[in-house]
Amino acid sequence: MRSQNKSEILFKRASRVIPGGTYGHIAPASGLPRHFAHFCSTGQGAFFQDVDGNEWIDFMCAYGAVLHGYQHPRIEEAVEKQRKLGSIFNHPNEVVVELAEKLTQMVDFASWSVFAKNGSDLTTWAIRVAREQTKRSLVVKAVGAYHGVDAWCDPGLGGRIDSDRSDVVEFEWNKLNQLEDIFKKSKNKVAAVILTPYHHAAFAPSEMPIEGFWSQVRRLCTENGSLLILDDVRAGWRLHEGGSHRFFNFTPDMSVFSKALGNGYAISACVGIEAVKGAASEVFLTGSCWNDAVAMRAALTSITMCEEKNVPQSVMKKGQFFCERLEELAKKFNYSLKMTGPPSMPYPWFEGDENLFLIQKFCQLASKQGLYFHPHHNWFISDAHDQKSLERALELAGRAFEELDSSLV
Amino acid sequence: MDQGTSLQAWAVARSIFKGCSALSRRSKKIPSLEPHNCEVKFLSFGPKEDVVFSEENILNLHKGSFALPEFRFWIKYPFSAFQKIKTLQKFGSYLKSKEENLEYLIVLLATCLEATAVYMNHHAQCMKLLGNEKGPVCFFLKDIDDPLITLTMNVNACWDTTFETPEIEPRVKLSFDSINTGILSCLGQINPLVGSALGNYQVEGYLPLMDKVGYCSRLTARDLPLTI
Repeated sequence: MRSQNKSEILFKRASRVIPGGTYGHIAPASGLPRHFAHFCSTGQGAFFQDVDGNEWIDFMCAYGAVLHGYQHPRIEEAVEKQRKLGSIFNHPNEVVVELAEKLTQMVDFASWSVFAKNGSDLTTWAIRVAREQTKRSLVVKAVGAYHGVDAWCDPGLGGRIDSDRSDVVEFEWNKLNQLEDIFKKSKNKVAAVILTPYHHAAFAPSEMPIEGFWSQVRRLCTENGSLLILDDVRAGWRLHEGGSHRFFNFTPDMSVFSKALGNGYAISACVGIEAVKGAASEVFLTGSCWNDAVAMRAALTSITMCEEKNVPQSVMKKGQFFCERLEELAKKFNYSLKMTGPPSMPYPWFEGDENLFLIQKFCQLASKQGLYFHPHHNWFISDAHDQKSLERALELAGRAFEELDSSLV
Repeated sequence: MDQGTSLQAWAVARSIFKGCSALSRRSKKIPSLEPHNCEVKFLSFGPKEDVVFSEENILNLHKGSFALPEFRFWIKYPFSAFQKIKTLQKFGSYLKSKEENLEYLIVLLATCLEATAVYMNHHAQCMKLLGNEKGPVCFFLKDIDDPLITLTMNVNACWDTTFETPEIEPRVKLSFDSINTGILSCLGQINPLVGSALGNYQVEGYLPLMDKVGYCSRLTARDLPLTI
């Protein structure tokens, strides 16, 4: 058993001064509380170290926020240069223009960009832009889809009032007839449809769009005068360097990015088509530190690297190698493991394990080997995962399967 | 069901019934206290209408205030009414005894979870949260194989608690690391996020259901705090 002493002491301290100790998606309760560490101390490339000094091969990448690996030298160098000049001023730094220009050049439909700190900041703002543009109120989303922490969409249970979601309508992912019905029943009322590029709900296997899904969604939005917002916060830069819509061959009206955009520096961006630029300028948007030049420099460097090295393709290939091998390994031990979703951000699913006991057990055993495999959330591959680290992870996963096998006898 | 007094009185009556059932699992002679709707705003403990309380008095009973059953009912069946009142008194005293043993934990779990089950069946917000979930949600004590109690949807499509081991795989399992932890959890003295992080209990299986049940139990406890 790897030591968790410091982690536990720190958590006890935290719980005295922070509600719940730690919260949100990183709350221990939503992972494997007695197996994952509660606090990290450092990270490098595809590895991180917890506060007890345990080394982990990471397959969560700060829940997707790290694409090139922890502390990538090129990004850190650019950040350090910017930090010496300063980060927050009375006015934006030149880098905001550079970053907006870069994004509008990389994302084919984009003619403008705005910036904030979190995905939620801009998924919610994009909806307000759609309402301003269409003068309608309804928002359509997929059941179980995560779009952030605001009252219209957060997955928590507390602090809700009925009116929070009175203008939100849901349909089941890939059920186009349900979406059509919503448009029929709510004619001229739908401001926007907001969707992720594919369905990556927690606690469930990922679902790719069925053939024709995106073209039909696009058609329905266009025919009904509603805007199509792509929530590319999680998948952005892991499927295609020009935005995930390119991977699935459709064109949204706005896309929201965050996570991998800044390779660990807090930044989000919304890009949009020319036709909604006017509405975008009408909807108030600001935050005390949103013009953070350091995070913008990190983002500019990160997406430039994506473009130069075609990082999305690279992480996809690495993911494919890893997922195929892991599935084969599982099969050797007579487990039917499917790595669902795109290989660069796979969600592991044991056939018949609807209540998740098997995946939890496997991830617990993997954690003993120093593998950070999450049982309830899609994993992430970074460009820092090289052949050696992936092969080492597979070797350790083999040991976890062996132990799983013997523990279930 | 109205979301105020009627819901709360029903939850209290059901929780007393389940708590008494847990307490008397060893002796089969005690009368059934399964509540029934009697007249409007009145509840009877057991099908025979001998011990009948107004909803208001049921809530007084829960608060530990003075509460008498309706005279016009118990006078018809004084002997059976006496037996039931004695059982109710025994249950009340037992809860206040705060013993730290397995039986006490099971009685407390049955009392708290049955009230939660009522909220899961009738409270608008809880019903909405639970959607199509059916359970079973099993509660264990570390190192004991059989569940102490299970919260599940029964054949009548109602949530209730049972002491039987479910025939199907639990949807989610919660295992207390000690009797004391279980008791403190029932009394709302353990933060669920902190408790699971520090190993006071372990939750396995489909966690979102436990989150929902936990939230419903806290809603229930806010309306009907266990004052012992």
